[in-house]
Amino acid sequence: MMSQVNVGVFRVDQVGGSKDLQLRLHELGFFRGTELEVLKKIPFGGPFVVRLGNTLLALREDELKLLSLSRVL
Amino acid sequence: MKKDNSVGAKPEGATEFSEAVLLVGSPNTGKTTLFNWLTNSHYKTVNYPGSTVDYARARTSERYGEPIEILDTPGVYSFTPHSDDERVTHDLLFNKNPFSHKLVVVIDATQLDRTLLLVDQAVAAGFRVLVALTMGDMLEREGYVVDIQQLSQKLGGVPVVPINGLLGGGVEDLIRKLRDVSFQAPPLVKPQFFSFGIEKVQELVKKNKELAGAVIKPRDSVNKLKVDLQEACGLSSETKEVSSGSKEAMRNKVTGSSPSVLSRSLKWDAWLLDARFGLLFFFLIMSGVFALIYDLATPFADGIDALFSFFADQLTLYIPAGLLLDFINEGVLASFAGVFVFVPQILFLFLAITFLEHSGYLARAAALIDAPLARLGLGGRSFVPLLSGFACAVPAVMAARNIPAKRERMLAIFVIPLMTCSARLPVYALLLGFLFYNKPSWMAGMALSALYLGAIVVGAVAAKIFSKILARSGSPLAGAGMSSNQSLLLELPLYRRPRLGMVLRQSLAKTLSYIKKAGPVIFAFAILLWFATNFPKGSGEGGESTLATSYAGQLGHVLEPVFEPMGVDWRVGVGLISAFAAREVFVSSLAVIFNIEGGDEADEESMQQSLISSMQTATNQNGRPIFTLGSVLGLLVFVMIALQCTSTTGVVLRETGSVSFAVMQVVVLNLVAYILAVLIYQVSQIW
Repeated sequence: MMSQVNVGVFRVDQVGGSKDLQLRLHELGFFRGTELEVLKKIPFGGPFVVRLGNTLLALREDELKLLSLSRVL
Repeated sequence: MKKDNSVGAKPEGATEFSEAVLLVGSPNTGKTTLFNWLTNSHYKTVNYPGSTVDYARARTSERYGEPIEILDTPGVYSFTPHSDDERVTHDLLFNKNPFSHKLVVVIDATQLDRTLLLVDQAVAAGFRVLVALTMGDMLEREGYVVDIQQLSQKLGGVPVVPINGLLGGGVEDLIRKLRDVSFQAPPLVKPQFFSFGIEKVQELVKKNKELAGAVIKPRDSVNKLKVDLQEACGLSSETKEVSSGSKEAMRNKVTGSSPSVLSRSLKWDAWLLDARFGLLFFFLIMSGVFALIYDLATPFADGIDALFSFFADQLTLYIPAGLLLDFINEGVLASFAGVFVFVPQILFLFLAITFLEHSGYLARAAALIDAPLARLGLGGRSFVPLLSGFACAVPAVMAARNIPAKRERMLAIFVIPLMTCSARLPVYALLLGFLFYNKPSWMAGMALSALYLGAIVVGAVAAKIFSKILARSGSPLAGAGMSSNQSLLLELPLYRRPRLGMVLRQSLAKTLSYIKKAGPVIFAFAILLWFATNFPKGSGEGGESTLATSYAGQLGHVLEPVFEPMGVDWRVGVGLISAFAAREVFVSSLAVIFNIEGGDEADEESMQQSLISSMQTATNQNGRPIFTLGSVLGLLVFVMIALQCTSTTGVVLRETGSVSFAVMQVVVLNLVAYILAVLIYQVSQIW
């Protein structure tokens, strides 16, 4: 289901992945309760462009999948 | 330009380091720009002892009074390291003895909530901390300001100095604060690293979001704006009446972002990261960069070449012909020319990369190319190292530190030498000049493009094969890193107009550091080559016998059977061997070898022209021409693939810390190059 992440606003319910990656995601501001906006997907299997507050980030699909998201908008 | 405020060559002394001020900050916060303002861009990169990573070190510019030692550390998001360059920052902060206790933490006004984490960690660790607040101008342009006093107060009294990265404003104020007794006085205990776990980080980032919401204020302090902004900065917005229910307003509220700071960038991204046009723009921009570099650099390179020829001519007027003149002209001057002739190429590529980096596009280019590179086992983070490889593999291999996954980093380092570095250009120019002699210049241009593309294709194939091998073997190279998982997680900084002066300064500094690193090696080998081709002196029956009996000639003769299958004789072999000093030495050594034989009739023509005419008439002992279509094509492919660069191997050895990797790389690349060159020549003989 997550592979069909689409453009929109989501809330982070949980952060998965290795401890190292989890910590990095937290340091960047991804944690339970934060809201993020998936702006677009770069074509041909490219990463997603995500906005988190005032920060724009490129996240691979695998990385975005580490975040359990629920759609807000 | 004064040189002396860079730190001298002496190894860093103990006391010296503890006096130094460390500059730390997240990537894209303008930390290096601040460093350039402080030091007037006169810095020196230092190899961190026991590790592989450089950091920049310098004294503050004399215009600010008595110099202060400043160290620019690799950018980090937190003190917990995730990649090799972050590890260096960590070690500089905590594992250094005697330690420095003085930190300037650079934070970004538009990203306060995220960048304040470093301030928390620095204070908790027990450093004397000074905060430099950058990007205030970006915020101000949107009508907001940071309440500096309040921010300082909320940080528990840590001094905060706003810095204008574009104009250098605030730098003097920062220096004044660096001299404060309270900042200078060492703490009672050495700063200690506290590993901030996930919960702690979460708590701090939340706190900082609120803090940011409180200290960022509308410039005109209109209340309505303030409400918008508090939401913008992710305050737990209780003020629900603002949201009109329109989707846009709702979205802004929900994502907790200030649309005003981002809106310009989003407008640009609508085009540059577009699903259909994004990649098209990427290829257009990259082709534009390469075309521009080539067109701009060529006249400069020709000019440098002409300048050295002019010097050589002038010297013949003052120094009597003989060994001394030969040594100066063909040894010293030719070596210098060899080092400097492709400096324009490198400088222009650094200019382009730095410009794209400062504009914010470079990270986007990396994101756009991530998927294709990932298919090869590489990824978006390999993009900048690979791109730098088109200037010179030495800084490119160093740039690969930024890749957190060990396997991807090794893979990138393996293929970087396949990118068409500027040292290959003089060789290509000579060989293509020969192939397309008296033909329209666009043909040679097309062939050159084909060589560039060919190298990329070979690089892609090599990456694919090598990544398969790494994956299968589970070799020690594969999983020894900090994180063996590949990741992208790339910040896309806001677009901003690059400040050209700063771009120029940083590119010049990178180019200079390249000249200092690679220059001496190339120079030394070129001098060595001159001796090897001129001594021992022949029995006096003309120049030819000198070369034939010289050390280089002897070696060439011994190795001739190796070069024969490529269709070339021992003389080209000497050229190829000498190219291991640096590829472009191939041209000068061929010039030495053939001009000695060709006599002096070519004085009036340019070196390359006379060399080409010598090549056209050159034959081997059996009277067959050496330079045929087949052998020259073979040579082109050889130069395209072979790793003929001792500086590169040196840096690979240093960066990977693996002798077997470096040896394997040299063997594989050269063997493949040789086999292909032989194949091409042999096939051409059948036809």
